[in-house]
Amino acid sequence: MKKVKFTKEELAQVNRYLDIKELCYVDLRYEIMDHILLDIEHEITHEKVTFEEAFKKSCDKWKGSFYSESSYWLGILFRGPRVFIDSCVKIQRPFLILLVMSTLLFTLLSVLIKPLFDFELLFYFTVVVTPIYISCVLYWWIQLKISRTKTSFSFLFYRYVIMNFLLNFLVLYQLYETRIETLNLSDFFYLIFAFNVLYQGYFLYKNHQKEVSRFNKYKVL
Amino acid sequence: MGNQKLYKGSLQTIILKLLSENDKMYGYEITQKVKALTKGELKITEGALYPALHKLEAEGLLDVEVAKVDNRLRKYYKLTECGTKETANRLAQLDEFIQTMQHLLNPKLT
Repeated sequence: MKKVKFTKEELAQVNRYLDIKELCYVDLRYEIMDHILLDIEHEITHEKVTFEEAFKKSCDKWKGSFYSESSYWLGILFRGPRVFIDSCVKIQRPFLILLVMSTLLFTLLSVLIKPLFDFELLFYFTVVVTPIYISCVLYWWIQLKISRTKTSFSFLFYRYVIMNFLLNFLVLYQLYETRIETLNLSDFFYLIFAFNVLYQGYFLYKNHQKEVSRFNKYKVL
Repeated sequence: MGNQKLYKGSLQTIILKLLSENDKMYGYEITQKVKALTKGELKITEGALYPALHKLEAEGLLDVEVAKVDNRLRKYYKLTECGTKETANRLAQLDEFIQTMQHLLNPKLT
């Protein structure tokens, strides 16, 4: 069977379609492009149709996956193609569950250990953790900006790691306002948030860089 | 086709099983393989496949390799060591589930 060879214009047409659908995240874009082209190849070879007809059929098939939508897991303000949003939800959901569970668990723990707790120690611990925390998040943020590439991981980093990071400083502000006379729940909230943000931030940064290096090899970015 | 909802919960296990039998596969190949093996009974939608593949990758069960094929990039997925162990676990769970359903639906056969 003769292999279908796409012209530059045909490839550009598929690329334009993905641009219109706002699928600019490299971890999804290239494999979906390959999938669409394979669909077209199959139609041309087996159904003996033209590129235009096969492309239209493929667009109809993908239409549902490209509807712009949002998710409660990510926040209803953030919209994107359905396939992209679903992919992000699957990555983000375990982190959100971890954040909620750890916050509840440690808050409960803080109430239980209150009589035994060394307030001074917690304060110094916070003082040590904070500069490391700020440096890491800023370093990852700069690295992501330098890469000039969008991935699902960078999308989640900008929306959730940065947002939680800023939110965290509102808690930090309150921590310093109330100081350590009483064991304030904000002390715990701050530290739990910080560890969660660091954990998720590192995960997203690492995976973004991995994704970028995979595609950089082929000089497509 | 009405069975699609029943298959939905097993999508990740299906992907892992296919990858355990093939060294590496790409998205389109997985959809076609499933379609062929089930004689068209199960059609994995693209909208469900890629988020599932990305989740498995994020969990460290799959490894990705990018290659240039016919002037375009193709993403190949393969099982990691951890993914191979997890495949065995999930297949055992699925087998247990099938047997339990068998007990419930066809008690005479068991």
